[in-house]
Amino acid sequence: MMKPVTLRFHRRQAWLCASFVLLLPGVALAHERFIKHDILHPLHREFFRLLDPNMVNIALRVTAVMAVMLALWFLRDPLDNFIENKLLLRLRGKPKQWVHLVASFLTDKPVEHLWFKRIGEWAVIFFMRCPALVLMFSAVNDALVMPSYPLEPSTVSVFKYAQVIMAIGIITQLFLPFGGATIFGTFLYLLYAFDWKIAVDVLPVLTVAIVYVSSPWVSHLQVITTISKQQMRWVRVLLGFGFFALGWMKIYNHDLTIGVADNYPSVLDDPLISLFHIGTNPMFKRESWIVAFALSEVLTGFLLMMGVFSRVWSAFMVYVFTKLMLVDFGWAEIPHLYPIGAFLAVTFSNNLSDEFYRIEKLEEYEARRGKTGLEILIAIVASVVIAVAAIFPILYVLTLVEHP
Amino acid sequence: MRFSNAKEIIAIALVWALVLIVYDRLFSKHLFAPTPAAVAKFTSPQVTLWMSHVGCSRGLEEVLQAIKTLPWLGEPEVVEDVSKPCGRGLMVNVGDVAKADFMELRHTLRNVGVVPDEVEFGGIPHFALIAKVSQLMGCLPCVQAAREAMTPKKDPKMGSTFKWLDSARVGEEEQAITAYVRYGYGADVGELIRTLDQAGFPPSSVRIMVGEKA
Repeated sequence: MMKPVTLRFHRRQAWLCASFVLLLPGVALAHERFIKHDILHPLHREFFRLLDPNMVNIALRVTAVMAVMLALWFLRDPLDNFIENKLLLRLRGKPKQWVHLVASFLTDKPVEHLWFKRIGEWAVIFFMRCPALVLMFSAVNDALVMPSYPLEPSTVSVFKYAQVIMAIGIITQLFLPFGGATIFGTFLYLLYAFDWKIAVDVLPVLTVAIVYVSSPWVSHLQVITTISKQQMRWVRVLLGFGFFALGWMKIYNHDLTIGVADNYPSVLDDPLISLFHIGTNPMFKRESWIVAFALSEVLTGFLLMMGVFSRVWSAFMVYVFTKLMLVDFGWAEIPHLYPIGAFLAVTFSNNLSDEFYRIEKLEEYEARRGKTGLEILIAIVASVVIAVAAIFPILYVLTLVEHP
Repeated sequence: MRFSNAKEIIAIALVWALVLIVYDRLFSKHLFAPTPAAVAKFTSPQVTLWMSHVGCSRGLEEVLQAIKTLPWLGEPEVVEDVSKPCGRGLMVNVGDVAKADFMELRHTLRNVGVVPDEVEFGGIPHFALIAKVSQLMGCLPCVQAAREAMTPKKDPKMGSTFKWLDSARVGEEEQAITAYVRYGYGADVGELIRTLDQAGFPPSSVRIMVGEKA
């Protein structure tokens, strides 16, 4: 079992890291992806130059969904109390127990069930060791960390062997803090050697590095099966931020996004993404799809980053990535085993938290005073403000910048 | 049980990143050295040709004269390779990229009885090659076959193909195959022509596209 560990960065160290990252040159030396992405039909590039009515329409839908999810989150305790203790008051025995378990699962509270804990332990082992498979896969494909980073023939051997050594360290869980630090170091190198746009792809890989660096040095002597609350917070925030950033990158780098869709047209008809762009101008179908796809990822990433229904979103992402891997793209997407592992670890964690404790404290205060109406009002206003702030400013900035 | 601290992690990460960067700077080499420094130094587009047996049985002078008939090429510089006593390499600046046509170069050399083993082009950070072909219009299987031909493959003995290729586009209407070259790389033009020949799409011209579209 692991002790909860807090990884603290002093202000000076944090600034040192940030400065180092910002000073790195953003040289575009490779901009391919590991699946086909040639644009087969031209894109209306002017669509992305202004807040097009279709774009605003999609953004409003996503904002509405986000606001509803946030409001439900802020009101989860009174809602749970109402359902379990008033609506289903007469329920007894096993059914009552199952309702409680489902409610606990949906509201990110600890799920006190043996099977849930066992699966959670296995998910942590999978999450912690799966990067070894990804590294081996990349080494076999002459790439670094993931196939987005092809290696030069002149340097390929050393990088391949280095990855195999790292993979052996991960499988045997040897000196995990060292392994985690080298993953961060490799990320810095990737920022230097490749285009920064590709570096966004590798952000989710850093989540496991967080757990590695906060593991004991003698990590090989124990089987790590739990992730502490503090570690899980870092995992959730970094994983969520990775997808939040990936979502915005889909709009910024729209040619790449639509290039993939042109080669795998079935993704254009995804029913869940269609909910966000159905009814928009058919002339801009592909452009609207890009925005809908991107903002659905922003929605998921933001809510995960903030710890809002983390289990629901993570379980949903397990489904999405499994579908992409098995149905849409096939073998080329096998490295998606890694994010599947990360999302499984979050889904089956009993150490989840969120980032809205101040709003929740305010609500609790009003609830204790018996002002339920004010409690609901705070939840609704806060939800709308947060959702608008999460979507519209960045969307607007993206209409002003030059797209690649 | 001892845990790491932030200082240790930052130190290891920075040292590791530094090691990788230094190694990359020292040992990463390719046709036209795609390192940031090399990309910044790119000034002149250049064709490199390698020809077997030109130095022994055939007149090198004849080849040089043939190359001079192409107005878009500059003065050739002869390179010798000690491992190939009869082989010769030529490095030629491309004076007018817009008029460059590698099929024209191929035909010109063919007329003097020479087929180069390798034809490489580089010296521009970002460009694409456009091969004009026929048979694509209204033939979906042909388009698919052309796409398949342009897909990089991995052969356990021969290694990977199209290592320099970023992506390719098969244009049915314009009857052309566009090979987008990876940023900072040179293109193996010989490999492109050979692949299209073998796939049944012999190009009538192979030209260079530069600028934003590439």
